[in-house]
Amino acid sequence: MSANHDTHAAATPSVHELAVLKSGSAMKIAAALGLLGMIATGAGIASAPHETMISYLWAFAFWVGISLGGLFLVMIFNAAGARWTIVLRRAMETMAAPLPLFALLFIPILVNAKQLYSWMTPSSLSPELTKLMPAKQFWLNTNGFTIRAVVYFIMFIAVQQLLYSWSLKQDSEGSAALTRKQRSFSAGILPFMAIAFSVAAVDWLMTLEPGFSSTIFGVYYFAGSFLGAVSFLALASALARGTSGAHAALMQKDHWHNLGKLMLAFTAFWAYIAFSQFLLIWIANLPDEIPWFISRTTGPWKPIFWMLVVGHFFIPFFTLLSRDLKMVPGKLALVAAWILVSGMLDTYWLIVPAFHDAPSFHWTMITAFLGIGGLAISLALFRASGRYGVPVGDPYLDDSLRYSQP
Amino acid sequence: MSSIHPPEKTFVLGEFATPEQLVDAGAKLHALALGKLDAYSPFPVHGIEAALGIPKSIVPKMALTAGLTGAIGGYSLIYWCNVIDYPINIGGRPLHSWPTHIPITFECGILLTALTLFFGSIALFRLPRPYHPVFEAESFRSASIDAFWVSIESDKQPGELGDVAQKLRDLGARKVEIVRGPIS
Amino acid sequence: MSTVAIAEVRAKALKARAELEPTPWIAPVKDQPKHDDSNINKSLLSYIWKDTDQGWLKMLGLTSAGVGLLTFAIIVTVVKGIGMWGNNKTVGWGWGITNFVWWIGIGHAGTLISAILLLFQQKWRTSINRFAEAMTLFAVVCAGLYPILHTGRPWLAIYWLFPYPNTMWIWPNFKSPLMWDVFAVSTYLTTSLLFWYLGLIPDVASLRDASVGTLRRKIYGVLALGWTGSARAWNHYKIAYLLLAGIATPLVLSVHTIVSFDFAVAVIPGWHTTIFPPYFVAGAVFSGFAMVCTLMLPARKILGIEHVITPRHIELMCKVMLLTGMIVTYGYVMEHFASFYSANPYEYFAFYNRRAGPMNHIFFLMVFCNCITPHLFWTKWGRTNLWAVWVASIFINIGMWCERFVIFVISLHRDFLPSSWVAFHPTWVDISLYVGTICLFLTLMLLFVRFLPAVAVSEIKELRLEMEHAEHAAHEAETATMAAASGGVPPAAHAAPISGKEG
Repeated sequence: MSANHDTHAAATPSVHELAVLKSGSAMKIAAALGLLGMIATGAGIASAPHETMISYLWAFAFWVGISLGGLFLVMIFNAAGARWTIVLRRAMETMAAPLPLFALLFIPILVNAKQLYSWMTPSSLSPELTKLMPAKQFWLNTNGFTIRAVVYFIMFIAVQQLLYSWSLKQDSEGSAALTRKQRSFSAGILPFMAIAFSVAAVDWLMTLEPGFSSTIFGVYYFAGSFLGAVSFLALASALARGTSGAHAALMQKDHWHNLGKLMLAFTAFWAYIAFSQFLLIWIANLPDEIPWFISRTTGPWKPIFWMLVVGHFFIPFFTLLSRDLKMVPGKLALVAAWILVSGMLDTYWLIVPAFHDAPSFHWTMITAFLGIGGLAISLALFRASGRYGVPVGDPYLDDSLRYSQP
Repeated sequence: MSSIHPPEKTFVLGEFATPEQLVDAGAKLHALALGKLDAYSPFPVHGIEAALGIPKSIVPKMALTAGLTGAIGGYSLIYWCNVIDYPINIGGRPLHSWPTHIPITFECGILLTALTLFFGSIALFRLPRPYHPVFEAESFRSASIDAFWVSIESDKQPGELGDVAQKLRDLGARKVEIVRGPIS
Repeated sequence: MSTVAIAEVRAKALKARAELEPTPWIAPVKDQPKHDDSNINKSLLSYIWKDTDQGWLKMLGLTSAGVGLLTFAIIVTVVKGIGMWGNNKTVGWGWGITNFVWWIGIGHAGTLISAILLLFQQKWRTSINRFAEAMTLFAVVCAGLYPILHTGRPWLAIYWLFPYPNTMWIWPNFKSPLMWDVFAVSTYLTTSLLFWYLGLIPDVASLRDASVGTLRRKIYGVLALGWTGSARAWNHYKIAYLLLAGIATPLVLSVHTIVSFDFAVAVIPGWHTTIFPPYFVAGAVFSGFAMVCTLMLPARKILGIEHVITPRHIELMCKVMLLTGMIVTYGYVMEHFASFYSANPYEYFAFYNRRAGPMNHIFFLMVFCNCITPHLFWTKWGRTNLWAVWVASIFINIGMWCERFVIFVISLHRDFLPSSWVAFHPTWVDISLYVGTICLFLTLMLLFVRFLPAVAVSEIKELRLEMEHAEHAAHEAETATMAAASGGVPPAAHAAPISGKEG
C-alpha cells in the first residue's frame, strides 16, 4: 500500500492495480452447462416426474443453501463490522447475487409439489398421519406453502439487492453513510432472515415427512449451508487466483488461514447440531420421531450415514486442524471441495430417504445439479463482471488488505 | 551434589525502553554468540523468538497427543465398565450404545488437554522457581511492568564480563546489571 | 477504470474511515494524554495497594452473613434431608435444578469472553476477560453445590458420580446425562481454573514487582511461581493460552449442551425438544453477559478502571445480549410452534399450560424480561445510558431464572397423569440456599477485586502497543493513498507486478 522499501510490502499487490472483472469463459461454460442441464431436466420431468422432482429438489436445496449462506456471510460480517473480511465481501455478494434466479427456479417445485409432498394428497397418507392431519392443517396446506415461499423469496431477494446495490454504490462514492447503512440494515434484518431461512427449511425439507418434527431442523440445514458457503468461497477464491481483477490476488496468507478456521469451526458446528438432533431423538425413541432416523441410519442407508459422520466431520475436521494446510490456498481448496461433496451427500441423505428405502440414483440428478448450478454460477459471474472484485470504496479496505494476525 | 548446590551462573542484564529496541538488540547479540540469550518483557514481544533463535514451541503437539489420549481413554473406560466388566441393561439400550458415550469421551479429551496444557507449560517455563539470579537486580522489577530486558548467561565471574556489559550499552541499553547466583 | 479513479475513491473512503472510526479501546485519562506501560500498570493495579475501604468491608460483612445463612441451609438439608426443599413426588426437580442451571449459565459469559472472543480476535475482550473469568469460576462453584446437595448424602456421592464401583461392584450409569453432567461440570471447573490462573501469572508477577513491603511481595511472589517474563516462557505461553482458549470454546458449548441433555433426553413434554442444546447455550451467554454488566458497571466506577472498560465495551456487551436474547426468543417460538405442529396432545398441553396454567405469570415475566427488554439495546440511548443498561441487565438475570423455572417446574407439575398434578412452593430452605449462593458469589467477587488484578494488565499493555502500530500503519496507508490521488502515480514498487499480470 505504501511506497516504502520493505520487500514484503512490495510483494503485496495493491488495490491500486485492480482492474474490473471481465466475464471470462467460465461464465459461458457455466451458462451452456446450465441450459443443457435444465433442458434435459425438463425432459426428465415429462418422462419421470417423481424421480426428476426428487433430483431437482436435491439440487435446488444444495445450491440455494450456498447462495443464501453467501448472503448470511455478508450480513453477519456487516453487522459485526468485521474488517478483515472486506477484501472477500464482493465475492460473498456475488455468491448471493443469483438469488432472484432461485425464485424462478422454485416455480417447478411449486408446480410439481404433489410429486414431493405427500401431505398435499391426503389420500396417500397412512391412517396414523390421516388422524393427525386436521391438527397440522394450519401449517400443511398448499396455499400456505405457496404464500410462505413467496414471502421467503421476497425477503431474500430484497435484502440481497439492497445490500448489493449499496455496496456497488460505495465503489464510486466511498462514503461513510453507505457503510453505516449496510451495517445497521444487516444487523436489523438478520433475525428475520434467520427465521425465514429456518422456516423455509422446515417447509421445503422437513415436511417431506409430515409426521416428523424437530425444532432444530432449520438450524441443521443452516449449519450445512453455511459451511457449504464458506467452503465454496474458499474454493472459488482459490480458482480465481489467476483472474485479472479478482479479489483473490489481494488475499493475504492470513485471509486464507481465517477462511480455513471458519471452515473448521463450522464443520464442528454442523457436527454439533447433527449430533444433538441425532442423540436426542435416538435416546428418547419416540414413535413420532424415531422413524425419520430409522430410515436414515439403518438398513441400506446405514453406509451413507457413516459416510457423513466420517466424510462430513472427521476427515475435514482433523485435516483442518493443521495450521500450515490452512495457509496454502491450493490445499485449502481441496478440503473445501471435499466438504462441498459431503454437503451434497448430506442434502441427499436429508431428502431421498423420504421416498426410497435404499440409496438410488437417477440420471436427472446430474442434469438438475448442473442445470441449477450452471445457471446460478453464470448469473453470479454475469452480475460480477464489469465491476471491481473488491469493494474499492470501502473505508476499511486497507485495514483488510494489511490484515495480519497478532 | 549438584542438586543441593546447583552451579552458579552470571547474567549480564540490559534494560531497553521499547520492544523494537529489544528485538533489534536481541538479533545483534544472537549474531555475536556471546552466550545463551534470553529476553524479559511484560507482554510477549512480536518477533523476539526469531531474533534470539528460540525454537518453535512443542506445546501444540503435546496438546493434540493429550486430547486424543483423553478421548480414547474416556471411551475405553466406559466401554470396559459397561460392556466388559459389568454388562448391565439400562433402559433396553444396547450395551455398547455409542451415542451416549460421546459426551464423556469429549469431556475426557478436553480435560486431559487442559491439564497437559497447563502443567506442561508450567514445566516448560521451569516454574515454580521462586529464586532466579535475575531477581538479584532490584531494577529488574521493571521487566514485568514497563521495560524490556535482555540477558546473556555466562560461566565467567562478573568481573570478567565488562566487555559484554559495554556491548549492551553500545546497543542502546539504558541500564546494565551483572548478577550471579545458583540456577537449577 | 484507471488507477487515478481508484485512488480518488480510496481517498474519499479514507475520509469516511476517519468519520467512522470509533473511540479507542483504552480511553485517554484527564492528566495523561498518552498511555504508556508504566501508567497502565499503575492505574490498573494501584487500587490493590490502597487501604481497605469502609464500604468494601460493610459489603463483605453483609455477604458473609449470607454465606452464614447458606451454611445453615446446607446443614439443615444434610441433617434433615431433601424433604426440607419444596420438591415433591411430581416436581422432583425444583429450585435446586433451576438455580444450578442459572449459575452454570452465568458462568458461561466468562469463558465466552475469554475464549471465543480471543479466537475471533476481538480486542475488546482484553479489558473484561479476567473479571468475567473469575465470575465463571465462582458461578460454577455455586452451581456445583446444588446437585451435590441433591444427592442427599454427598459423602456417598463419589461412587454414583465418578467412575468408581460401588459396594456391589456396579459402575455408574454412563448412559445417563447426569453422569455426562458430572464430567462436563468438573472438566469445566478445572479448565476454567487453569485458564484463569495461566492468564493471571504475568499479572501477579507484575503485582509482585510493583508491590511495596516484604509481605505482599512474598505472597504475590509465591502466586507468580517465579515468573520472569522470559521470552522462552512467552514462546510456550502464547500458544498454550491460545490452545486453552481453543479447547475452552467447544467445552463451554458442550457444558450447556449437556446440561440441556439432562432434560431433552427425557420424554417429558416441554423437555424433549431438539432445539434445546443451542438454545440453552445462547441463554447461558445471554444471562452471563447480563451478570457481567450487573457487576461490571459498579465495579469499573469503584475500582477506577473506566479508561479500559469504556462505553464502547458496554455497548458491545449490549449487542451481544440483544443477539442472544433474540436467539432465545427464537427457541421459545420454535418450541411453541412445534407444540402445534407436532399434533401431539401432551406436547400441546405442556405449552398451553405455560401460557395459561396456574403459574403463567412467571411465563409472562420471562417473556417480558428475555424477549422484550433486550430490544432496548437497538437504541443508542439504551446502550449508552448506564442506568438503563444496568436495570435491563438485572431484568435479564431475573428473566433467565424464570426461564429455567418455566422449563423445569412448570413442565413437571402437570404432566401425563392429571391425578398427580400438584402446585409447587419453595420452602425457606430453598430460598436460603438461593440467597446464600448469591452471597457466596458476591463474597468471592469482593475478595477477588480486592486482592487480584480485575483487568488483564499484560494484555492491556500488549493491546496498547498494537493500537499504536495500527494507528501508524493506517496513517502510512493514508499518506500513500492521498499522494496517489493527487499525483495519479501509483507507488513505483507496485508497477512491475501490475503490468506483468495484466499484459
